[in-house]
Amino acid sequence: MRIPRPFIAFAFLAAFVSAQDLLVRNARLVPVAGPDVAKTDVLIRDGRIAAIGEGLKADLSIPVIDAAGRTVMPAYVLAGTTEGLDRANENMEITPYVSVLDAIDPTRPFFDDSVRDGVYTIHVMPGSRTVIGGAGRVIRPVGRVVEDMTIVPDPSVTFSMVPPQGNRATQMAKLRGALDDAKRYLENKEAAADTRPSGSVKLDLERLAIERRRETMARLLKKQMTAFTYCSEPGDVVRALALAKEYGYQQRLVLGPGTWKAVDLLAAEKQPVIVSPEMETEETDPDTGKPVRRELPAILHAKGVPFALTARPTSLGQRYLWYQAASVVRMGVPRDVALRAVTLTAAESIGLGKTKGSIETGKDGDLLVLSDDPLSGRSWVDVGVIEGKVVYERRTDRRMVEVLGLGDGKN
Amino acid sequence: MRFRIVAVVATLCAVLVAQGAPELVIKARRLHVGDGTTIEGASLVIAGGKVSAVLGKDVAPPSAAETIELADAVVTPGLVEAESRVGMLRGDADNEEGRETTPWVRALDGVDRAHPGFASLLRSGVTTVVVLPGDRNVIGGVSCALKTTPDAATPIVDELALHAVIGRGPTARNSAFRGGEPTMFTRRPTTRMGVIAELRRAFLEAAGRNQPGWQALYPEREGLALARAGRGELPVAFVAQEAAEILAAIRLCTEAGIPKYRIGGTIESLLAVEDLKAAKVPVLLGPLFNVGNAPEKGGAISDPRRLDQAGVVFALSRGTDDSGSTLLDLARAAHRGGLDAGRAVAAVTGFAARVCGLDGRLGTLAVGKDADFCVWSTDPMSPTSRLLVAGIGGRIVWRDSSASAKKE
Repeated sequence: MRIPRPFIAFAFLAAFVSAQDLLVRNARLVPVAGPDVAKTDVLIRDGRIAAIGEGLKADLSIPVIDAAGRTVMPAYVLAGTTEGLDRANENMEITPYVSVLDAIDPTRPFFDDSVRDGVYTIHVMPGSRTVIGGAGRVIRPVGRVVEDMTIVPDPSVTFSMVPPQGNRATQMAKLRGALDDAKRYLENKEAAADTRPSGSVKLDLERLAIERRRETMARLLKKQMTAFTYCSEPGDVVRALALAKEYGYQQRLVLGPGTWKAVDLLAAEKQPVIVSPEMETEETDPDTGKPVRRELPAILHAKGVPFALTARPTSLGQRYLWYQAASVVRMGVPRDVALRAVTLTAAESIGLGKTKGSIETGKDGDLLVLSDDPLSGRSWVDVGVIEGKVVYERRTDRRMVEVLGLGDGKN
Repeated sequence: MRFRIVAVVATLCAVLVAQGAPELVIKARRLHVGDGTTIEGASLVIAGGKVSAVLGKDVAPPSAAETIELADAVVTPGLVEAESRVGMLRGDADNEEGRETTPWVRALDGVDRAHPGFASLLRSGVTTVVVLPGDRNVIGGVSCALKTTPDAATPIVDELALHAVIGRGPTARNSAFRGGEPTMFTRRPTTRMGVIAELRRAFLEAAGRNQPGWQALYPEREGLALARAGRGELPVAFVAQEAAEILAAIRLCTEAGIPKYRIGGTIESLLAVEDLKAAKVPVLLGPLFNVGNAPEKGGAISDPRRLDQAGVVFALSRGTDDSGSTLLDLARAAHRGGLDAGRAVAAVTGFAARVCGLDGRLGTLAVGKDADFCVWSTDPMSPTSRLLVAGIGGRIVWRDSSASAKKE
């Protein structure tokens, strides 16, 4: 008999209750923020990491996980994805007024898998087949409804420099048009705030309705939100940087592998960038006719640009952030940089560098107990913890135990 | 007299050296033979384009024209991609639409051997690839095998197997226009049972052709390939995803007396494991996704381990999956699902060659086999491992830019 998927998740998740205490003992620690520690304890109190060190003492009431022989690392952070939505994009081009709040479906298998794979901070955004796509949201994969899952309500708005139709010039014109509208709206709104109400009910209602539609762009211009701008070519990077400067909004760039030629510009910006799941591209050398492979993360690293990696859930390997990090090591990037790209740098790129992405005192207690080193290729999440609360255990995961026969930790 | 003897001996030695002098020796931290076994600290000796010896760590390798010794390097046979449409030009990857069964069509005739897809396969470690005709026909045609030599791929078997599809592939887009009544223009079959019925017709006819005095109802060219399949000269390669389709393939071949066949693209082989074992059919596992709408069904990463334990001959193939995973990624996933590292490598080398019927010539690093090899920066089961050198027929055909600097 097939049990409906949501129930599998909710059996061990229930609603996301308030934070808890937990002691993890004898772990090999990969804190990401510093060098690996061969053996140590991690204490979480009230959902935050309270202490790291050997032989920590804690009340008997605090639950203990013995992680001897296993690796503990911060939970993965996914800096951008369109998964978990019913559809990635509206079929209109400029839709800043839509929000993934209204499209995230907590029963999607993606969230089940994220719990299983240890991805506990997820930035869900509208897709990049758009001009302006709408508001994103940072969530944890745990909860009955989106409100329960939310970590940051409206952090971002999706921009794209890649035209879904027309050419790059029309794309720029459309972006400028939308930004000009938002600027005018903001000016009118500020001016209107100084004057008395119109007294006409009809006019006030009209103004209210307009506000709802335009508030996202206004908040972007007031630097309360950040544009996440998708670029596939070097020229896109040039235009995206110029546009943000011209209108004075905050921006993060989401980069396809074809943008590698703009790496010097990115280095000058000194901001973390987000690398799309497709990390490398093959170009034909115009002189020899031979294919040349361009590995974007390696090029970014060589120029000192911090980067976050993302995953593609439809691919066997690329769906895992550890696999993406391992691929980057294969490209010649040091191991610590690769691990940061799926934890700390990813958290920084979505403005959560102070709470997520590493195991440090004072940070949120989001951690994973792994069966093996994260980049070994044979590692499974044995226990997953969000803010001190155990949200996943492999030995009770019905899919791992009954379907895959991988629940006993011996495989 | 003595002078003459010396001259003869000298000549003899010269002849021996010319035949047996190794052109290449590769010293490795570990060598995957490709049959499931590994040798620590081995040297691979290549002469005349073939594997001439595999030496353990206590035997000093002979001197050779070139010696490759890279720190931490692990050697495997060149990978064998058992199902691919690489090099097929747009349109050729579809099928001839004249009939539902087109066994006379050869995939080789639709392959662009200079297609860049071959080079990109080589960079992922694949040195041999089987190219299939399309999946839209019940019997699509005959597959071929090529080596991914640079500039142009080299065919090694022009007619490898007869490619048959059970399941929904051939029914795709065959429904009547906009849900209306089927007409004489509606392409058939439209159901899985229709597909199987069409296969049965073809196979039984083939069986009949091998009887004396049989009058062919269908064109000679169709009959010939089918008759060869009936005599076991041309193995039949089925695509059958679900358990019901796997069982249908076994049933059809039993009915029509098809002696040699294999089943590919499977995602439910675990549900038919007893039948596969009883029929001694080799299996190619599909792309091992463990996501999707029906994860209870969809080829799980622990399937290779469980098929292996059950004693079913199996291999991994990427099939037509183009979502960015390489063939080696499948082996890594199988290893993560509990399959031993040596057998996971074998699943994309020696086992794959065996399932395709190429094992007489390649797939393992056994003495006398084609010297198709890959040198990896560390064990290829680690996802951080990088391909440093690839060779086909003893000739180095690809070298990583970071490896050439360290070449000895």
